[in-house]
Amino acid sequence: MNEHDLAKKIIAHLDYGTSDLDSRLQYRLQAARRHALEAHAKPHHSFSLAWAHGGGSSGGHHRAHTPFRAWVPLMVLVLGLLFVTYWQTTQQMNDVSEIDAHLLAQDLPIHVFVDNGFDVWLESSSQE
Amino acid sequence: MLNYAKSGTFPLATHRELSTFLAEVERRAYKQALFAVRDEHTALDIVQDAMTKLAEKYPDKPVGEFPMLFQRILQNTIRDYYRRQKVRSLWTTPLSSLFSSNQDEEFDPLETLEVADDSNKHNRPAETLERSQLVKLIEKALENLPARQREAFLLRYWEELDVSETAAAMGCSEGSVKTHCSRATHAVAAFLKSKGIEP
Repeated sequence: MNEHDLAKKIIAHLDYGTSDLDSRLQYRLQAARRHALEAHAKPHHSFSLAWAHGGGSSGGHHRAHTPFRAWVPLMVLVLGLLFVTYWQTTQQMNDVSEIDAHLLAQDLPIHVFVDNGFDVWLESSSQE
Repeated sequence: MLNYAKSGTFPLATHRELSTFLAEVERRAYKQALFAVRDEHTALDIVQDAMTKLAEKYPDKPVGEFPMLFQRILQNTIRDYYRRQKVRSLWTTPLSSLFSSNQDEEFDPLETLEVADDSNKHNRPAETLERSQLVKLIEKALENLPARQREAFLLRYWEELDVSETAAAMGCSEGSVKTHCSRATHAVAAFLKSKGIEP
């Protein structure tokens, strides 16, 4: 018997084995098929985040992928960036106003800070 | 085959065609996954993932391309499982070796043979039992094959892909497919002979 005939004989036995699958397994396979067909029936979007479909083959039988779910991470990212930008701007303004208030509250007159002579005096006094 | 969709000579798959295709391959796909991972639940998860990926990612493909695409997806999903298992075993092996039990005993399918409770299905129960035992032995032989040999054998002979399609699905040369198939067939035959069965 050549290799091909031998293989076909083995395959015939395998076919016989699959025809006699447990009814519980048959039900699970039908459920898996239905799940796949639901995915096929859904409208497909040209853009979606690759990792929003993630998990891949990590198991589970009810992983529905909705368009809304795909956009949620992107929305969170944009809102996060907006918040960070707003916070940085506010913080900068607070810092400037704090320095101004500190300068104005000091006993020294404000013009000493723009007087070059004061800088010279500071340097010379520190060297001494 | 890939140009059919562009030329329009091969109609795109409808929902019903996809359903028919999946119903046709699901049992063999389950068995293929089971031979590879040896766990019923994991095998079912793999089949579901492969089916879902086919339906989600290739809804606009002609039905004639489904067998090849599905097999590629299925084999890749099985490989992904192996990769994850490899990473997991890096962590679990040192721990399990501490609590090892005698789990590596020789498994004899004849001892755990489950005969279907369906006595009216066949007129000759002795023959049915004998054939069930033979199927179990063949499945055991396939489980024991190296992964690539088993993959080549099942794609080539069970899924009836030709050599070039099998090579494309496996990502290897046609020569390798022929070698794997030959070795797999002879290994199964040798296994059966060792059990006193002439294939």
